[in-house]
Amino acid sequence: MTSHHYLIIGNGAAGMSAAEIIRQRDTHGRITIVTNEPYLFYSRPGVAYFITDMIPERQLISRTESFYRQNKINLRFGHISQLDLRGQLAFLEKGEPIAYDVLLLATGSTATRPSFPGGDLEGVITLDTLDDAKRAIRYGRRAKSAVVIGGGITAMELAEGLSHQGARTHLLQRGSRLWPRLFDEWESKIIDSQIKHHRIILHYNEEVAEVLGKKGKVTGVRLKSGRVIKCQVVGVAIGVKPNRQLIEGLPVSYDKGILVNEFMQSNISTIFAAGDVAQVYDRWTGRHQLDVLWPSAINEGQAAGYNMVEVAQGRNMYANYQKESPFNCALLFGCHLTVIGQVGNRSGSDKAEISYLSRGSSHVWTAPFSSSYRSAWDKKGQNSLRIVMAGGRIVGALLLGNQELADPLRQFINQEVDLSGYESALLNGQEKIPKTILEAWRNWHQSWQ
Amino acid sequence: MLSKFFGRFRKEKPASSTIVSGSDLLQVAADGSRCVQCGICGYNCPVGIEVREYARRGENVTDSRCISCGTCIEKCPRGTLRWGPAILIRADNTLEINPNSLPKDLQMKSREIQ
Repeated sequence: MTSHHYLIIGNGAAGMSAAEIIRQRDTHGRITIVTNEPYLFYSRPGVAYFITDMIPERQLISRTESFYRQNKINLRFGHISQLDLRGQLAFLEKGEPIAYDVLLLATGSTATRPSFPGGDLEGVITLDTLDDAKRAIRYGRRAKSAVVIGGGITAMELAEGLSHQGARTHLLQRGSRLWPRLFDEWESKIIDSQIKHHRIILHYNEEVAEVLGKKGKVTGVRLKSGRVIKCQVVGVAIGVKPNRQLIEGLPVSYDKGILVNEFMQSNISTIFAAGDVAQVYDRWTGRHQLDVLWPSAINEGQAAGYNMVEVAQGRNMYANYQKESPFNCALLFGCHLTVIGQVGNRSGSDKAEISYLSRGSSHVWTAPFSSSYRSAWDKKGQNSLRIVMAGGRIVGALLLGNQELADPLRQFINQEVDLSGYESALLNGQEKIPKTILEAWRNWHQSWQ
Repeated sequence: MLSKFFGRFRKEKPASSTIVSGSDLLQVAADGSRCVQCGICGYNCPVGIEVREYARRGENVTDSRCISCGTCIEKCPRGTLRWGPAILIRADNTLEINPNSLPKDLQMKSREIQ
């Protein structure tokens, strides 16, 4: 029996989950993962908890060396700089070729660097990898003051981390509220009040004009309003860009990321892509979209893994991937947050937000709403629940604080449960919403019998 | 050809309605899709259980060393963990082991038997 060689570029959530599935399905095949980071598989989202000292570095590593050994996964540290599609070869930077039968590109994405002058000075940091997190901790400890730019989860996490490490931290928002692509006024206020407890200074309607420096190092930022804030570190979290450099110029189809079909296969039959770098068909918007969320990366990696084995062994692919409605959860300044489905805001001024995806964000959250979309709220103190309905179904929900209804809502949204009988009660809003959701949930369960 | 679905189409039937409640015997239950493997749970576990290994597989924490202190549930930043019943009670008062209390490969078999 011939043993096939599966080459996976990228040791993140997508690459690892593909490798695990391949090993389950093909015990004889050779699996190689190439990573350009000097670490075993670690939790990327977990670096946010590392910079606030909730966990030490070693705890982030979630697959030990013995895991790789037991599963016969050969992990190589290096950077693949070139592909030869005809010869089915991948070249390491020094020219060493690795032959493959099937290739998975799970190269992820990289935090976008800022375009304003001074963005390349020493002390301008992003939060993406474990190395970035270590840098953030080092700078946070040394700096007297820090400035963080960005509207999403990562910006808030970075600000929390730098502040925790001792830097007096300023968080700049371009608009008049936090995470304007997602939060409404009220939700923004809840997080705003939490941020103040963390000694972080929030500035609304402020943008950086340039980063000031001396001898190549950051000394401050000048804002478009003319104001100058002195600081030694500038944290930038304005989005991510897929790492698709490897296939640029090759006959592999790509748009923003690598275009894949429902089997996670590119237009070249032996090349698959999964995770942040893959652009998958999204039934919610009818277009191919990037999806830079962790659970998506795992699902995509698993589907790719199944199909890679089939292709290697000359059979038909059968593992279909269909993008879920987006889902993410986070702990922001002590406040639990869950976002499911389409909840985005449409107010005109926010349209020109960032040009790339925020880490942990999704385009679909802010997909254009049709006029038939209606929202309802239930707000109490530090808790907030917002649902979005369309055509008798709940299509989106955002929960801050109390998370009790997160699971029922997620199933309603994902499985497109018809709730038209409850629509008026739900849209009347306020305290009726939670009660109605629970009632609908119970009835839905019983309908399965 | 049999198809396998990932993502949205991986539908799971909710617990059968013949199950009316769970036992008071609780275990730490996990929603694997919320887990990002950060390891805060295991790091804070006073007896050193690697909780995220259970969370990854969506299994209840069945480690015999678990003292049911709830620290992992409280510390999880993403709401992955919660208390869940080890035993389910059917409408006719008969009992059933919560499938999540079994290792994943046994869960499949238990569904087949049922």
